[in-house]
Amino acid sequence: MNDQELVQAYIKGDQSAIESLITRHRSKVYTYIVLTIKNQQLAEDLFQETFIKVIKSLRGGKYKDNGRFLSWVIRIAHNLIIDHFRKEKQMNSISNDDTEVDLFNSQKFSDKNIEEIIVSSQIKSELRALINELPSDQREVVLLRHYGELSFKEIADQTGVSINTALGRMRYALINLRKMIHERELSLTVY
Amino acid sequence: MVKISTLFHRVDGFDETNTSSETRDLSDQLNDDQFLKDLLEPLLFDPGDEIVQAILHNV
Repeated sequence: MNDQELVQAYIKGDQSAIESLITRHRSKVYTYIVLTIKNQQLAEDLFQETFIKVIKSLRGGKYKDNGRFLSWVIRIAHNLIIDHFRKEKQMNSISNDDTEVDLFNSQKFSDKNIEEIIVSSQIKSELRALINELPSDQREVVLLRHYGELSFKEIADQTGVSINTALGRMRYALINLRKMIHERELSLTVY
Repeated sequence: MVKISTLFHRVDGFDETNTSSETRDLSDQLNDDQFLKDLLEPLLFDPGDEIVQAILHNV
């Protein structure tokens, strides 16, 4: 079943449909949150809040089904992140690395061999460093585009800028990423 | 035998002037999206089953 069908099934009372939707999208949503706020505990809390809000919205008939379920969820997550830091008055801590937790230690690698684990962790670590080094406005556009599959119009609306600004931020983000990959001579392939 | 280089010759039926800037923009965007997809595909963290069950339990 596609997202649209699962949403409709859940609205009609099929409880297992929401579990399927969460399971399908949980990694992208969680990765978006954790790369944005860089704090694993807070990311887990916001991940839960996001899907609780999703469920309540579906139950309340607030979801307009346009076949963009993941984008809608990511927009909810984005708004919750913004709300959190507004409440805490800690917007600067979005780019604060002090609270960063090593996510690789919490992963389950039972079915992988040690070499694959090391290579995979190393690649993730290097990728994460690349993303973290982007200016926050560029990082925001990259994460919304890749993990949320938002259009540039949606990114512009979500971040309160013009489409051209969103496009420009993406352009500079890609220039910066390519430059960093070249300078560090990174090979980001799992063999 | 005369050798003819095709390096600077236009291929018949391929007229670049018909390519609108919008088409080129879309093409650039698709390339950029593919670059991001290739780059970030390995960067995915799984929150685990417990957190999903906690959500379902809480609602």
